[in-house]
Amino acid sequence: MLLLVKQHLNRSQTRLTSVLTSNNSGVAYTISKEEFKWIRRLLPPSIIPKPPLHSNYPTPSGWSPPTETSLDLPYFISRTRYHEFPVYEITKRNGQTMTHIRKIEGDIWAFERDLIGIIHPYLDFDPATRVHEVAGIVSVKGNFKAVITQYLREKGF
Amino acid sequence: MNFGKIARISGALTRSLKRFQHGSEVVTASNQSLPPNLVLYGISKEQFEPESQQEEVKSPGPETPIIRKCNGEIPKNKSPITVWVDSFKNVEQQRQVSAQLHPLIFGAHPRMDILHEVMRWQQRYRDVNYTWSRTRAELGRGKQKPWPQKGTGRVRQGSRAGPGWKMGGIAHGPRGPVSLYYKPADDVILKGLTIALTVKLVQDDLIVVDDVEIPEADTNFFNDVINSRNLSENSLLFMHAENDFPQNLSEIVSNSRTLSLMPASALNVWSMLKHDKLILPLSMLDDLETKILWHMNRYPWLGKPHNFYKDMPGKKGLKFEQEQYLAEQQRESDENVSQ
Repeated sequence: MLLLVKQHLNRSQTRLTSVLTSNNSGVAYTISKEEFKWIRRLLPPSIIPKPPLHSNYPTPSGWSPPTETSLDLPYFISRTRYHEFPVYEITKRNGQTMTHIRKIEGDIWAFERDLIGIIHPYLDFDPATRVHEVAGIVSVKGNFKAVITQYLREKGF
Repeated sequence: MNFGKIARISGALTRSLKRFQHGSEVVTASNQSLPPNLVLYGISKEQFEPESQQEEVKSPGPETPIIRKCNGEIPKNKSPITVWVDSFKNVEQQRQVSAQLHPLIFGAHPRMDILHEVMRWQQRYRDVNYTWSRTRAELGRGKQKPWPQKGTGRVRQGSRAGPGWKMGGIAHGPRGPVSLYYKPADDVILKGLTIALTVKLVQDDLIVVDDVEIPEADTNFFNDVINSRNLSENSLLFMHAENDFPQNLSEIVSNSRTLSLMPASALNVWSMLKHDKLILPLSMLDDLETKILWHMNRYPWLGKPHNFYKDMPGKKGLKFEQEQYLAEQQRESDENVSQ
């Protein structure tokens, strides 16, 4: 069947063209959902996947999963949804650095005491810490992300 | 100043908080003794008077059969919360079987500031500021020059409607209806929901029921059920699963001012705080936990629209693909476990 169709070339110009369409009566067709797999590969996942099982830890990137020994302590620091430690360092515009440790449950003051014990060898003075009980955050003045992360890994968090 | 001392003053509170957070015991209002210097007002006082003191409610022990287990993954440091499962088919309160609730949802850290934020958002996001003031052009007068440009000795003026004039237009005033809509971060709203559920559970205001539908739309039967559970003076919020509408209960709820019935998707902080008691059926818990845990463990949204993910819970269009993807994931995890 020949049809005349208005074709829009751009905003101001249109032209009439002829289009050949199929006669719908009596034409056999099949529906296939097999081709959709090429689109499904491209669709992003929404759920963050679990890390695959490795034979040896730590992995080449330095990651290791949490272990059971973390349950002996009076506090617990859970991993982030990306399976990382909740330790963050920030640098202010005046050059000061601070380290935040989030997601602390249980006796946060016991964690603060242990933290001061870890950081003491690196400083000549007492570490400046802030304990935010309600939010479960401990902040330390200075950049101690590597030290704290190592401690948390040792303790099995 | 030693903040540690202040934190350790209320030893009983911190101890109970620790137990609560470590998931070893459900801390509810009925199994904790109130401090003697606590001042109560209104209905709370009647409930806690020594004469009307109820028997101590026992939590479900290890012997009670568990008819519903948690689906989602539970963190190592937490254990599922067991609650009694009641039944509205019996007039008497049933304490024979129990259900498990997910600790991240029903045992969340009780952040009152987040709860307040979400509650206030629900009150305020619909607000519109309707104030509107007229400019010099909208006063409906003032095209005429009040006096000639020169010769009068007065300041040159073009109209009597300028902002400097008395009863003139307002130059930079409020202009028309302005929406005061705002939305907190998704995480805040989600946390508000989990905290509200936690608060309801801890304060003995959460009732888990096998099915929220009642056998017959009989007001007397319903009143017997309510009275035997000492809920006659409480406002009740009944929830039902999405495709599981309770016809008999809806007839009774529509005649009452203190009872409400909502589907699971309508669960919100404001309604939970407004009503005294929250009643959840078992059929709703799976969907609720799946969706909340998905929100807690998903990637951030990739722009808008964000409906093209292959593993969104409850997504209708891509159901076939979803099942395949989830089956693949299951196979991979089984392989990992077997290795």
